[in-house]
Amino acid sequence: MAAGRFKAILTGIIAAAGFAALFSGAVYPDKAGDFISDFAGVLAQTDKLSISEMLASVKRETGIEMQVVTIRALDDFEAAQDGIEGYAADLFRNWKVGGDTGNGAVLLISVNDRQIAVEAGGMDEKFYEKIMTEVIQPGMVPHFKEDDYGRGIYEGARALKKIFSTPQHRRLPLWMIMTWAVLLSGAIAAVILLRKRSGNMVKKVKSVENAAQDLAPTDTGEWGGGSSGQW
Amino acid sequence: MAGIEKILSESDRAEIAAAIAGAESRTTAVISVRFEKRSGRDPMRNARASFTALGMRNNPDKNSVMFYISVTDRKFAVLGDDGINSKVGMEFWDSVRDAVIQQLKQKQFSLALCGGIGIVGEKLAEFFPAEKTEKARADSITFGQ
Repeated sequence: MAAGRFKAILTGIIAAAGFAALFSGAVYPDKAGDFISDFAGVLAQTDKLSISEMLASVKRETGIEMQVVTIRALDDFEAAQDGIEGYAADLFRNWKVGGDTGNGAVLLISVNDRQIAVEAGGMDEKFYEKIMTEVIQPGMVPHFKEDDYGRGIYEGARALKKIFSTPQHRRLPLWMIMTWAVLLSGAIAAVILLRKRSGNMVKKVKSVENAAQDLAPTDTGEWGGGSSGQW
Repeated sequence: MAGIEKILSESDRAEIAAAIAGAESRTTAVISVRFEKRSGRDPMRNARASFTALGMRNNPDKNSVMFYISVTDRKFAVLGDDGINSKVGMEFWDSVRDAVIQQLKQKQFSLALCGGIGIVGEKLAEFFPAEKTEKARADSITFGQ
């Protein structure tokens, strides 16, 4: 009888834990400003002004929307389970940073957890590592260690601006892509025609074809099929 | 890749592996589940790269299927090789995707994947029923960057 009751209690505890895990979700506050949400209250007014000014210039010059967020602890937003990277990614999605195209980034600092994360639209792991080693470690961490969050964030945002402003991370306007596509397909068509007419052109044809192959992503493939989406 | 393995508990892994083994016992196809941290803009592109890298295209019937999940940016893809893709339509893949994503949103990884594997397994058994010959076996659950 006692064993049965024990089992029932245990089942109850497990069920309650499972229930809590199922419904525990992080909390997403509204943005506190155009570019800065200093929920931790670690930024002086002057810091906020200089950082805002720079982030506004990033948006003007590159179209990229960057949001700086400071929090005291992930726990305050029930996000400890998601981790700093997960919560940054969630804020990015929740706030629709960078609009529908996701042309933006979130820089999240959790002060008491002593953790920093960056989430940018369409970022792969290699790019993330690059940001961590080139921006976060050298530019921000030393200032944070001295509790100078204003300076650390300013330096970090400035370095991110530099990375995001390089051509490969700036979105090309559609007209430019179309022009290049037309020119490239014209060039390939011309080369194929020439190859038919002249044997000596074969070498050049090869090099242009190779160049075209280099431009194309190597692993998008034309095989198989499937479906994908966001969860 | 350290870290993302934690997303699956031991029992999740056992359930998913059992679902894969069960589905594979009825078909010549290979099924695998791939976890990565981030997928960049296009999860399908990463899924294709992993699919090829894991040798899943070497199956003679070209009927292997991969379930791809990127954990941090929360993307999902289901990808089948030419053989199975020629038998099922886009609508089928979309229905698998929708069923899996619905569970993933609740972070029910095992339920999501076992459900998806079940749906795909049925189709594979219908079009590519099991033979007695041995087939090349990819690792059923893998983790990457």
